[in-house]
Amino acid sequence: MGLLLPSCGEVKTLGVNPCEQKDFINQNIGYMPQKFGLYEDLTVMENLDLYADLKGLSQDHKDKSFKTLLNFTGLGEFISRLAGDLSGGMKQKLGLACSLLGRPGFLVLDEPSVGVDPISRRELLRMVQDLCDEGMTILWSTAYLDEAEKFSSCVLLNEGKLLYQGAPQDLTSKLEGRTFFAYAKDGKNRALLKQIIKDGDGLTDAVIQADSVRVVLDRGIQKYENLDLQPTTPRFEDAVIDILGGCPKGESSLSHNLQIVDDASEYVIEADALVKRYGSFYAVKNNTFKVKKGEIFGLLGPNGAGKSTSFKMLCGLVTPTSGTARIMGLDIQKNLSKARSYLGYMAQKFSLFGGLSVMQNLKFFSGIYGLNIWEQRDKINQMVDIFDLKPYLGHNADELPLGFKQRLALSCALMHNPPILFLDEPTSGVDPLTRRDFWNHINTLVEKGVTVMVTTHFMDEAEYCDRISLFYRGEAIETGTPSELKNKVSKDCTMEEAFIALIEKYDRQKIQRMPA
Amino acid sequence: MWNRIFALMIKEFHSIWRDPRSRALIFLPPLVQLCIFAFAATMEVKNIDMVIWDQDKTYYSRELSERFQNSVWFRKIYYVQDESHFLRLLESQKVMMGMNIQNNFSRNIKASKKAEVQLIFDGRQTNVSQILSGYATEIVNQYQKDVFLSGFNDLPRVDIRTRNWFNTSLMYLHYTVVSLVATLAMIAGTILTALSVAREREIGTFDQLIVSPLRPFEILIGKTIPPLVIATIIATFMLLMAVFAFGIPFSGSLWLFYLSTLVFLLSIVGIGLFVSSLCKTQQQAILGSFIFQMPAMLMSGYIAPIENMPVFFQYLTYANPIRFYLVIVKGLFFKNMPWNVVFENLAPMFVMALIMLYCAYWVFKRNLD
Amino acid sequence: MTRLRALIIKEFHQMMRDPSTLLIAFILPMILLCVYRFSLNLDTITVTIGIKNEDNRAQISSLVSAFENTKYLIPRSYSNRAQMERDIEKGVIRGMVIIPNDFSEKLGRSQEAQIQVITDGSETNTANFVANYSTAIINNWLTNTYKIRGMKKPTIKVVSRFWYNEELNSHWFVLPGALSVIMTLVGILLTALVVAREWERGTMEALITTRITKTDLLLSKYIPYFCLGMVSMAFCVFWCVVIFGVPFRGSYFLYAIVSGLFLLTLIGQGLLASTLAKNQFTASQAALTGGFLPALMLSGLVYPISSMPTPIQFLSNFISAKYFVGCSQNLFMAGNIWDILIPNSIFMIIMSVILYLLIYRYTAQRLD
Repeated sequence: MGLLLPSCGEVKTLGVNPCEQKDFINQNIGYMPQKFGLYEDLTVMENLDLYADLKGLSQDHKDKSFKTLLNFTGLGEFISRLAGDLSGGMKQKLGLACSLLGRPGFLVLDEPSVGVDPISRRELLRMVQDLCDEGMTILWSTAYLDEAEKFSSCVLLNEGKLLYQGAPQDLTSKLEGRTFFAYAKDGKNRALLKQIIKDGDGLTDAVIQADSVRVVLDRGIQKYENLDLQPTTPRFEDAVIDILGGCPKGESSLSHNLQIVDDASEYVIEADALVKRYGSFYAVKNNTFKVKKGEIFGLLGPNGAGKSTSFKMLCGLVTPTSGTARIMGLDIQKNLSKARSYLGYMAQKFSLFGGLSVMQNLKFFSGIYGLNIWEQRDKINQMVDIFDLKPYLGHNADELPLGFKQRLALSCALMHNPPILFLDEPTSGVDPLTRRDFWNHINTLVEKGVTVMVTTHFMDEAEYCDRISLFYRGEAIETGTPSELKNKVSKDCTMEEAFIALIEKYDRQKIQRMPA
Repeated sequence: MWNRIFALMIKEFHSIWRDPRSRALIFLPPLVQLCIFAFAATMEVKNIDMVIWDQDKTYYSRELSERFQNSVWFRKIYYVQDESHFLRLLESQKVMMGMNIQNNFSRNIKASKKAEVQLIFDGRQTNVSQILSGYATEIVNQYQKDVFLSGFNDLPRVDIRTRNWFNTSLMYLHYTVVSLVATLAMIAGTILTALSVAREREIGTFDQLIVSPLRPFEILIGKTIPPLVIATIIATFMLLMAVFAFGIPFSGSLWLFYLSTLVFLLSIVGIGLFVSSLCKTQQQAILGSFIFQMPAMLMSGYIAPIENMPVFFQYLTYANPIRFYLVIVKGLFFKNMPWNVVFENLAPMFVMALIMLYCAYWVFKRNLD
Repeated sequence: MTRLRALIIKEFHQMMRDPSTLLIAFILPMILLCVYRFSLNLDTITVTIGIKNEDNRAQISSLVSAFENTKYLIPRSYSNRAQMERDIEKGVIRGMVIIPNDFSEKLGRSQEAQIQVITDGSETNTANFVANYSTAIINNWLTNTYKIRGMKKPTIKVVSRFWYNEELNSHWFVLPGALSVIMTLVGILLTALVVAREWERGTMEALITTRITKTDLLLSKYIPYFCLGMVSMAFCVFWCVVIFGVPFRGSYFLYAIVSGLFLLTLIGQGLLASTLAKNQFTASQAALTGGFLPALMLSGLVYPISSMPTPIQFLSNFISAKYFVGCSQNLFMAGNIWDILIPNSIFMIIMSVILYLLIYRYTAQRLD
C-alpha cells in the first residue's frame, strides 16, 4: 500500500506500484490499521464525516453511503456517541465503516478481530462476507485460524516466509483421518495432555478441548493404542500446525523448577456479592463465585459485560461498591498488600516497561515482589532458562516479538511463586504455536497447584478452563464446565456457538420478563 | 519493603537513563541554558547608541558631547543637524536616547543664566531608559562641576566610599548565574516528574504497579527519590560550572547547600508528582507542569524583586519554594549565610514539600479506585 | 478542498471537546497577564536601607531626613553596627549608610569628609540602585547645605523626557512583550503535542492512507491553531488595554498582521518539534527549551538585547519572539513605526516560510 518501502522486489496493488502511484492507491483501497485510526474524541458521525470528506465523497453520495453503512453496521443509534466510549466491537465496526467509504475495490483489514468478542466478531465476519459477495476484494490479516478457515483463499506467513497459498479447505482436507479426540479415563485431561505431549513422537498437535484432548497425529502413525481415540473432522488450525512443523513438544521446563503450592484452604478466590456501580450504571451486579485451588477459572463475556471490572475488583485494582473479595481467605480490602503478594498479574497488553531491557524488566518485577538480591539472581536465571529469554536480555521490551513479550510478562508475573495467577486476555493476537506453548506452561503451573483466573473472549482459551463464568450485562448468567455450557445448548456445538446461543437466550428471557 | 522500593527506584533510573535521547534531553538543556542565559539575562546597560543634536556648536556644547562620547555606556553617537533626523533615529529605535542642546546654551552659561539641556529617552524600553537617565544626568552634573567649580579648592567635599559587600565588583553575571542555577534546577525537577505517573497510566503499566504488593507510599518513595537524585546531580553540575567556569566564589557551607537543594527539589518533585498523578493524559501533565513553572519563575524574585509586588502577590510568593531557595543559594554563594538564616528559609520549603508529597500520596491512594 | 475542510473541522471538534484547550487559550493567558502585570514590576524599587549616624551635630539631621524624604529609600536607624550587619546578611536591608562622628566637623572646616555606603551586592540590581541613589542624595544635600561662596551660578538644567511612556510605567513595557511568551503556550506547546499525539495514538497511519496530501495535512494543523491563537491574542490585547490600561497607539489592523506572522512562526516551531519527535515527551521538551525560555530570556522582553555579548545577540536573531516583542511594544506605546514593523515582519515571514518547508520535508508519508 506504500506505507513501507520494500527493500527489494516489487509490489503491484491493483495493477500499479503503490509507492509510485500513491494517490491512485489511496483512492481505491480501504485500509483499517491495527490500532484503529479513529479519533476517540470525535463522535461516530464526526469520524464518518471526516473520512468521507478525506475520500472526497460528494454530499448526496455521502448521505447515501452513511445510511447504508450505518444500517449495515448497526451503529445507527450511536451516531452522536464519542468513538472513545464505544466498545471494542463497535469501534471495529466503525473503523470498518470508515474504511468502506467511497466503495473501495480492495479492502485491507489488519487484525480487525483483536479484542473483539465472539458476537461482534461474527457480525464483522458476516459484514465482510456480504462485501465479498458484492465483488469486493478483501485482505484480512489475522492470527486466529478459525477466522482464516472461512475465507476463500489464504496466504500463510511465518517468520517472513511464505508457507502456503491457496484455499484453506484444500489444506485442511489433507489431514483427513489424522484428527482425534482423546478422553482421559479419570477425566484428568490436563494430565493426559501432558503425557501425550511428553512423548511427542508421531504427534502433530494436541490441545485441550473441554474435557477431551484434541490430537492430531503424523501421517501413517498408529501409535497411542492405549488411548481412547475417537476420529473427528480436521480444522484449518490443525493443518496450519502441521505445516508449521507441529506443536511444541516435551515438558514445560517449569515443571522441574516450581515448588508445589500447598495450602490448606480449599477455595483460594472467593467473590461474595460483588457490586460495582458507576453513577447509576451497574458495571457488575451481585457477583458471587468461588474458585478452588488448582483450577483454571475463566471469565467469559462480550466487551463491556463487566468481566474486566470483576477481575479488577478481585485483584484490588477497583474497590467494589459492596461485597467482598477474598484471596486465600484474606479480605482484599483489609489486607491489600498481603493479599496481593499472593497474586501474579499479567495485564491485557502485557504492560511491560517498553523502554527498559528484558533484564531490567525482570529485575524490576522480582524486586517489587520483595525478593532480595540473591533470590532475585536465582529466580531471574531460572526464568531466563525456562522461557528461553537469553538471546533477548539486552533488547528493549518494546522490540520483542509478541510471543516473547508474552513469555516475559508471564515470567514477570511468576517471580514470587504466586499461588494465584490472574491473566487478562493473555493470548490476544498471539499466533497459535505461541499460544500452545503458553498454555503448556499454564497447565504445568496448574498441575503444581497454582490457581489461574483468566478473562477472555477467545473461545480456544475458554476450552482450557475447568470452569467458566459467562458474563453478560454485569451479571454472571451461566457458570459451569465448558462441556456443561455446551450441553446446555446442544450436544455437539462449538464453544462459540454455545456462547452466542446462551447470550441470545438470556436476552429473550429478559424481554419476556419485562412487563408489557 | 526496602527491596520493593529499591526495585522501583532502579526501574525509574533505568527508564530515564536507558534512552540516549531522553538522557540528552535531561542533562544538556540546563547546562547549555546556563551558559547562554547567564550572559543574556543582564539588566546592565551598555552598548548604548545615542543621537546628539547640537544646535549651539560652541566649545561648551562640544565639550559636553565629548563627555558622552568618552563614557563607557555609549557605543555609537550620531550627530545630526536637523530635527527630522533626530526624531527619526529615536522613533525607529536606532538610538536609545537623544540629547538636544539648544543654540542659546553657551550664551546662557556665559551670562550665568540657566542653560537647558534636553535629554530624551525611549520610554518603550522602560527599564533601560530609567537606568540610562541616571547615568546621563550624572554625566551632565559632573561636567557642570568640572567646568564651573574648578579652582574652588576650599569647598566642603564628601568622599563617598561605596562598598558592595558579598559581590564586590557588582558582577551582574554572578548574580545571574546563581539565580539561574536555582531556576534551572526547578525546571529539571519538574520535567523529570511531570510525566512519571501520567505516562505509565497511558501505557497501562501503572495498573501493574498497583496490583503488586507495593503500597501507595512505597510507590511514592520509589517515584520521588530517582528524580530527586538526578536533579541533584544536575544541580551539582551547575554548581561546578558556576564555580569553575564562571569563577564565582562559593563562600558558604557545601553541606547546607546540598541540604537545602534536597529540600527544595523535594518540594518541586512533590509538586510534579502531584500534578502528574492528577492528570489522565501526558498532554495534561505537560501543560500542568507548564502552568506551575511559568508563574513560579516570575514570582521567584529573580527577574523582578518581590518587594515590588503588590502585597497580595507577595503573600502568594510564600507558596513558591523557589523564592526561598533563591535566598539560600544567593546567601550561600555570596554571603556565607549562617545556618540559622538558612534554616529560616528552609522550613517553609520543607513544609511545602510535605504538603505536596502528602497530596500526591493521597491521589495515589484514591487512584486505587 | 473538501478534504482540507474535513480535517480542519475535525481539528476544531477535537479542540472544542478538550477542556484544556480553552484553559490554555483563555484562562491561562489571563492568569499569566496578571502575574506579569503585578510580579514583573521593574519600576524603581523601594528599598529598605539602614542608617547609622555617629555624628550628633544638628546639621546632620537634615542629611538623615534627606534620606527619609525620598520615595524610593526607606531608611531604618541603627545604633548597633553589628545588628545592622546581621540584617544585611539576612536580606532585611539592602544597603547601609554610615556617617562617621567627625563628618560635620570636617565639612565645617571645608575638608573632605568621608561617608560610607555599603550595599548588598548579592542583589546586584538593587545594589547598583542603592549606591547611585544614595550618592545623589548626599551630593544634593551638600550643595543645598553648604552654599558655595563667591561662585557665579550658571547652572545647567537637565530636562529629561521619556517619550512614549512619560511616567515610565514598566507594565506598559512588560505586558506587550509578555504577550510573546504567553502565545508560546498556544502556538508552540499545543501544536507540539497535536502531531505527536496522532502518531502515538495511531491515527496518523489511517490519515496517510487516505487521499490527503502533505499540504492538506499541514494546513489542517496550521489553520485551526492559528485561529485559536488569534482569538486568544485578541483576548489578551483586550485585557491589556481595557483592564490594565496600557495605551494602544498603533493600528489594530497592523497588530493583527504582526501577531498573525508571529503565530505562524510559533506554530511552525511546534509542528516541527512534533513532526521530528513523534512522541509527546520529547516534543514538549523541545517546545520548552526552544520556545518558552528563549522567548522569555532572549527576546528583549525583560533583558535589553543591546547589553548582551555579540554571540548571544546573534543568537537572538533566530528567536521569532524578538521580532514580535519589538513590533508589539511599538504598536502599543508608539504607533505605526514603519521602520520597525517592516523589517521585523520580513524576518518573521522568512522564518515561517523556512519552518514550513522544513516541516513539509520531514512530514512522513510512510511508516519507516
